Amino acid sequence: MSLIVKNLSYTYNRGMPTETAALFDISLEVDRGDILSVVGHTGSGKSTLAQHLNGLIIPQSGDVCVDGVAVKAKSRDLRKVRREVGLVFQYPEQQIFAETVEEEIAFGPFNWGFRGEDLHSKVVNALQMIGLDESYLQRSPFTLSGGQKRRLAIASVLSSDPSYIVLDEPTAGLDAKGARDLISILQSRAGCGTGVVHITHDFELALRISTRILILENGRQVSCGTPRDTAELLRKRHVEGLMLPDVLKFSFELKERGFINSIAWDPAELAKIIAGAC
Amino acid sequence: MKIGTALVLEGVEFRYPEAAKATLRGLDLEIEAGEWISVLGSNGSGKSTLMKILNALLIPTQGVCLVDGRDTRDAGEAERVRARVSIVFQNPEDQIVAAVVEEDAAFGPENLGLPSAEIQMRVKKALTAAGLWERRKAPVSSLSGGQKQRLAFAGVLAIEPGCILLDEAMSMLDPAARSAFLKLIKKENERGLTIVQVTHRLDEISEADRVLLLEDGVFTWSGTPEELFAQPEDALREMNFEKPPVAILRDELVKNGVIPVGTKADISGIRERICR
Repeated sequence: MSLIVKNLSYTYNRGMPTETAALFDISLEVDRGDILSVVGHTGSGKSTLAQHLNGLIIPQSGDVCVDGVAVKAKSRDLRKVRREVGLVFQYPEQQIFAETVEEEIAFGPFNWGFRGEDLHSKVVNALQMIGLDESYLQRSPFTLSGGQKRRLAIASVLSSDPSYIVLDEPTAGLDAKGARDLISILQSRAGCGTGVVHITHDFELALRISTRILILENGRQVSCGTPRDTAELLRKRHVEGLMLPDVLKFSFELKERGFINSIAWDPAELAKIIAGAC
Repeated sequence: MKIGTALVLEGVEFRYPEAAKATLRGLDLEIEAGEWISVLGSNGSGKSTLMKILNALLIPTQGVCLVDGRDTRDAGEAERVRARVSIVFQNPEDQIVAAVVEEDAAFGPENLGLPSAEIQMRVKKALTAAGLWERRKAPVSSLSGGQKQRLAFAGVLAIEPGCILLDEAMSMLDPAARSAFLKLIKKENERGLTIVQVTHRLDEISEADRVLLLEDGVFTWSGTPEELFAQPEDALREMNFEKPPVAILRDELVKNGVIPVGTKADISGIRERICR
């Protein structure tokens, strides 16, 4: 059971003067329990890719397959795909519309046909996943802090029990605590067997939390591998618009000079390597 | 005319109408012309309210705010104060008004009623500084997010203020755009422009002269960026900040005895010590 993308390409406004190619030949696989980070500069195709993963955009060429079900236009299976893959847009708190936290979270499962006690338990469950207790149920979403609103928006996707969640820049604009809380939600979801696709600009964060990292450059896939393989690759290959973390870059430099033998992005690890070399 | 603007807060309190409690409570602060001040605070600490006090969008409910010696309570001075102190907001879409790059940059000086030769000169200067002169005829919609924020900054520069307030102006930018924007600010600051920045990201403040921590409407800490980065990781977390990885690397290397105490928390400082 996994989410598989194979040789996916996509062009906006195909056949028109404004035609813009967005994705070329992308392939990836996310298993349940994985955290796959998609990293790339603004305009590299990250969000276009995200919208393919739950069938908001139908592939023009190549395949997207969720637990064996292919994403195709006019397919009845599309509903199933959208149920299995929850998509959290950038700044999702801008889409909060309900009068209470409870209504907001219940919207998804209600539309999937849940009622009464079943619905309530889904709501409470999702609320717990984001670290809020039942006292929040009757509050207006607009009385919550920025970080809480972001988490609420995520709870309203989690409440439908998706097998995969795709999040577009979930930590953008959050303060340190907000970002930390959010990352620990993603990690605990992955720990419970949800497949997580995490779209981000923050390569340092991607190195820290991902099982695999997909790097995009102008719509093309540079690599898809473990954090270590990805870091090794970037030692030799420049990727447009990708800012390497200072610590990692410094470790490249020291290795280049023959001062140390291995690279690291974690500051404590690099300090150890340097201390060992001295 | 001197470029930088000096700002003074004396016992500034601000309470929104019908609010149970004041948002800013007795703030004292002197900002010298040409200084770069970073105000750090989490969501809800009063950062944005402080920004609005500094350019006379809000008037203190108690205490005084002086801009180049002018009291913002004096309604006759408000326009002059706002011409000296301009804000760049978080979202560039909030302050871009025209459809073409150069028209947007001209909007401010046009409103000041300047002669057209002067407007053209200012637009050229501001767009060049922001690295957008080549794109002056481009539609605003074709710009990237980072370019749009630089355009918002250029629009403010063209007014030729003495102080620019940055209200989380880099929070929507990707790392490459953030670093380009920081460089732009640094250059303007070196030219003498006063910068007051509010943010919750420690990686945006390393060039500041002074850092102030705003918590629940009061300043609870002040010092240099270096002094802030020297705080233990736990203490920073307590203040709701993430210690920059380079500062952690410095601390760990000091702990391991590789570099001496007092090494600066940046890569060039560390490099100099270990590659000797």
